[in-house]
Amino acid sequence: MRFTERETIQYLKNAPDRYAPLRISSLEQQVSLPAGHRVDAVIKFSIQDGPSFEAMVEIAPVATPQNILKKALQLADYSSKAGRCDSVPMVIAPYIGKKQARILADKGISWIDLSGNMSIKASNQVYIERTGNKNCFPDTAPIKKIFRGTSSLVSRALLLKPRGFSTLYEIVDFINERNSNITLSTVSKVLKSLDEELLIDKSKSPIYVIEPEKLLERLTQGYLLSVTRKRTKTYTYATESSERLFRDMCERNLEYVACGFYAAQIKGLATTNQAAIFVRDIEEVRKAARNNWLRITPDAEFGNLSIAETNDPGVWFNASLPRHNATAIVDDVELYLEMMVDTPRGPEVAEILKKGILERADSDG
Amino acid sequence: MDKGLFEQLADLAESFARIGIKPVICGGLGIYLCFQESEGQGREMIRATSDVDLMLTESQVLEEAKRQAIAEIITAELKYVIREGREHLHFEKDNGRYLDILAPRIKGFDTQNFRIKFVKSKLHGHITDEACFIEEDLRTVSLRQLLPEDERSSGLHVQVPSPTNALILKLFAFDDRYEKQDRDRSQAHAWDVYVVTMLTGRSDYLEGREFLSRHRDSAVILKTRSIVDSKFSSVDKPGWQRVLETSGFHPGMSVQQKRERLDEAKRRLVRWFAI
Repeated sequence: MRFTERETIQYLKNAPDRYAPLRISSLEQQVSLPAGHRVDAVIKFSIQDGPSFEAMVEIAPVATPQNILKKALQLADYSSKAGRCDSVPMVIAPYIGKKQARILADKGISWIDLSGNMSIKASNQVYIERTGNKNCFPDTAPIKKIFRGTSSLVSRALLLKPRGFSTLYEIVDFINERNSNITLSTVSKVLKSLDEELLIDKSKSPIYVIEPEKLLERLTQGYLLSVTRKRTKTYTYATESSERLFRDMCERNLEYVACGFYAAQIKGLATTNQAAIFVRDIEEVRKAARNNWLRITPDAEFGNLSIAETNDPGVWFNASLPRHNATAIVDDVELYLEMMVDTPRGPEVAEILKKGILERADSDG
Repeated sequence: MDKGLFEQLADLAESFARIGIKPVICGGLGIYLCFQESEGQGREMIRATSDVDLMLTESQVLEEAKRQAIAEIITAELKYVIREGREHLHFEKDNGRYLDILAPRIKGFDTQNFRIKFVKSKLHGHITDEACFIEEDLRTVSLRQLLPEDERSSGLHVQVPSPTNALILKLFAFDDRYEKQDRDRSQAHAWDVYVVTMLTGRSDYLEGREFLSRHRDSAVILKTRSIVDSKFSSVDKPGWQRVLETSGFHPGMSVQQKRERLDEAKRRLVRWFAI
């Protein structure tokens, strides 16, 4: 459910108890201000047996950081130009997240959300801060799918090349040259959302990531949601030599990529006696095993090789290629994400990978 | 695990090293030492313990001089004192640092009930018949990782039973406590059986196969197989039921998910001892 401006106001009016001790004394919508400006509403608030104050309000039905920043700048401008110094500049949204709250605090803007949180400062008479209520309108949160599946490749590419890309086409080519397939339209949509989240700057060339660490954090959240949703079926085999197996797979054009702790071991970051790979097509692998083209035997109890089938583009994107004597491995960002969810040991390995990913961003950016 | 326990272990290893032997550590601490670097599911479930179970092996006690030296280390050098009612078998120091002595049955030594007497009125061992193959496939563990700040730890080592021997010891211990209707102890031993079963890898299993093929007709192996068969051959058997009853067993999982975990452990354990 996504509210319109009108519905947001209506919801606020219908649930006065949620904001106690604050009460709405009067509310006027679409109010013109001097100098040709216009705000979504002017609301008079009062506190029972206490002071009252007027607020000029901008409504943000979709509270992306970019929207919030825009509204905050707008209100700050009105405050200085519209001659309503006594009016408290205020943003009302279905839910104000931590990042959005920080933006508003920086600009000195009060806010209320429909989930029952608020931060209000009216001259020296009223100061209310109430946070911690959960988002009652998760549908209004910014789209998270940009951090999953094919869309996530844009963020991964931006982390790989922190110096940025001069055009959208360059991003498309960069991704498609790395064992993946993305369209210009997807890249464009994802960049728009990342821009709204204030994670990148695409206002001028180059398009680059402003906050690599935040971007990595959002990728992790998206990854967590996607792995929780789809559990991949894993097949366990016994093999006497993983190296020999990978050579045979390479010769038979069976695509695979080492993952998890096994990949971390190859990168010298962990130890394990269990090999783990993703393949594009498990049936092809099983057929090859049945025909003795691959030396593996199914062993559910004591197998030392786990094979999972996946077409997740993140797994294959930028993976190192299998060569005669080198095992194909997922790239650092993918491995970081895998390690983040592989508790309890994984996050320690992820921390080391994170340093490398962000250091690259620092030195390149 | 308590750092003090590792320091206690380091003292023991240092003193034993001077007479050319490595202490063999069994029980919960032995399992911890064996699997501390394992990545299998269940690693976080290794039980914390507060005592050291020291297994004296046949090769360590064959020479009279060695036996005397071990007794001297424990009672004089490291200043352990005997625990009342458990004389010369169980020792204590510093109010709560425990050392329990175990040993397989060894020919030529005086025994009395469950005691084997190494040094009269000084050092005895609790007879553990199922430890008859304990010296086979022993694992050597460095104490460096456990006490990184302790300079001496880099050169200190202890030994722990192979996973197969650890399983045999734990299965016998479970069986004994279960028959005596000691719920808490049987639960702890069943838990250890689960942890060892889940943390072992393919190479441990293959090593176990060779071990079992060498001793397939021994009374200990036959008895072990009968315990597996009667108490661990299905999730509904008492061994796995004890684990299921434990509050710490995957508290966030549904009963069905827990049963699936136990079924996996069951399949591994049954296959391990199927000869």
